Amino acid sequence: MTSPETFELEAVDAALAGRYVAPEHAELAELALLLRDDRPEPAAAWATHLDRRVEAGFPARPRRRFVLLRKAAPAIAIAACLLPVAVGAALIDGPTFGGGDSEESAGGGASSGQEIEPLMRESQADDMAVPPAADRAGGGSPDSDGRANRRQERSAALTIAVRRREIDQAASRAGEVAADVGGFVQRSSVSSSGGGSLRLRVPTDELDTAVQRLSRLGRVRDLSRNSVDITASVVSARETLADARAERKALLAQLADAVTVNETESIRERLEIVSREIASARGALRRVNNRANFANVDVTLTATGAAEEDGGAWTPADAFDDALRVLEVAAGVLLIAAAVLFPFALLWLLVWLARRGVTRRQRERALDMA
Amino acid sequence: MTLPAAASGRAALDFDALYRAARDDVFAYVASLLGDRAAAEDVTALAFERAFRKRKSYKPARGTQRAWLFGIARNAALDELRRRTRSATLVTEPTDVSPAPDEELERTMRRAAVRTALAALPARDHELIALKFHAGLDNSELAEVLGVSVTNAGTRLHRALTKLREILDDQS
Repeated sequence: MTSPETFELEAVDAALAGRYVAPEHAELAELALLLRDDRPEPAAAWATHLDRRVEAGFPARPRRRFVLLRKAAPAIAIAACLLPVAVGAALIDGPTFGGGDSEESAGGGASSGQEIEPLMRESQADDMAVPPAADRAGGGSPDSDGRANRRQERSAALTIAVRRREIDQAASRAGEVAADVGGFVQRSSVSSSGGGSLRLRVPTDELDTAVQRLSRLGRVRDLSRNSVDITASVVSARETLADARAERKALLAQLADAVTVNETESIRERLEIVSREIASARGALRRVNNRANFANVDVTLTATGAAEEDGGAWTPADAFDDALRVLEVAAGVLLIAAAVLFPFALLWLLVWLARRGVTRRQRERALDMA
Repeated sequence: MTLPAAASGRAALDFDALYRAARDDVFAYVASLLGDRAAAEDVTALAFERAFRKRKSYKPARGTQRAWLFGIARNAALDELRRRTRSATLVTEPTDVSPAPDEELERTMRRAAVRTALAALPARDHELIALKFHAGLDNSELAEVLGVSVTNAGTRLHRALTKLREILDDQS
């Protein structure tokens, strides 16, 4: 501003404030006072009415179109609160607590040592119905053998859910069970974080005892038993051994009666072959007897949620684990929601900014057109 | 007037004091800008209601309370002007025809001349006059309301006064 403008504006302010104004600005000062004195004054009735509204805090006037929405607001709020919880519970129940195995849904849950039967799948097979190659070679029919002397190869498989931090302990106790019943751990692969698997060899007569004790290690997800009739294999192995022994006995008799050197050498060569056959037959008989005398027990250990522990007891540590899990799921849900909502929020922001700019321009235009 | 806590505001803004100090000023500004007392009453009430609802969003760093309030009132008044533009209605304030005493005749005539000249001013200049002389804003508050610098506000105000004086000179 140039100086004259400044002086005139100062004169206006001085006049409005009731201060001295230089004579050369007297006309401007008079104009300022005229303008000020001519300002519109509100009606007393209106001022009183507005005062009351202000005192009441500008009570909101209900809008008809939002009545239904307001009535439904509590239900909407509750639904909005429950939705993340439901999603979280569904996610928790899926991968961690449920274990994700199909047997769970098929057989249902069972506490350790309880209600094992519904979970148990027992299959029996006749080795003649699906004969192994070795058994077929042995020949013989189980129908021809006495029922009391039948031999069976038995096995069992358990899937046991235990708490993640108790997986190592459960694996150790499984080995103890095997040892207690006279068996052993044939192989094991256990991870403290993800579970593991063991193959136990237990005496066939102790199989049921072992399964019962193993079932107490945790929550039995699945239990299956299998048995295969290997009587034919046993009979075949015995007959092979008996035949070889009989042949050796005959060869020994021939050797005693042999006269010529060539005859003697020939019988001895044959004896060596038969001796190897006898050794092989003994091994085969021992193996097939082992199949009948010892049962395989495959134990699969899986990690489970804390809430699924044995007996339903729930400790503060379990509560902490569950709370942590819920927080993880909630954070995941929020992250996904944020990822979904972000583009919409950005779009909304752009629209809002554009609308604000347009409104501002329209207001200024309205002033120009007034 | 005593206001309850809800109205006086527990936030940074003392709405009670602001309302008491600015009610008549806001009305004067809006009425002058719109030229319609009835509409000015509605717009002024709406402006205070908006200010009350948004009182927690007031930030002292962005200007004085009066400037913030007049910004809201200005937007409400301009919205009313927009609405009038769309509805193409013309509202004029009836002229005061009440007889004046003889000793005040000259002053009354002078006031009428000023009022006529003011009505002839462009709306932007009229608004500056209204903010300065009817609402009683100082130049810095005027600058905040219009979103310009104080110097620019002073320049605009001086131009408006110059135009007003020119119109008055033409009338005489």
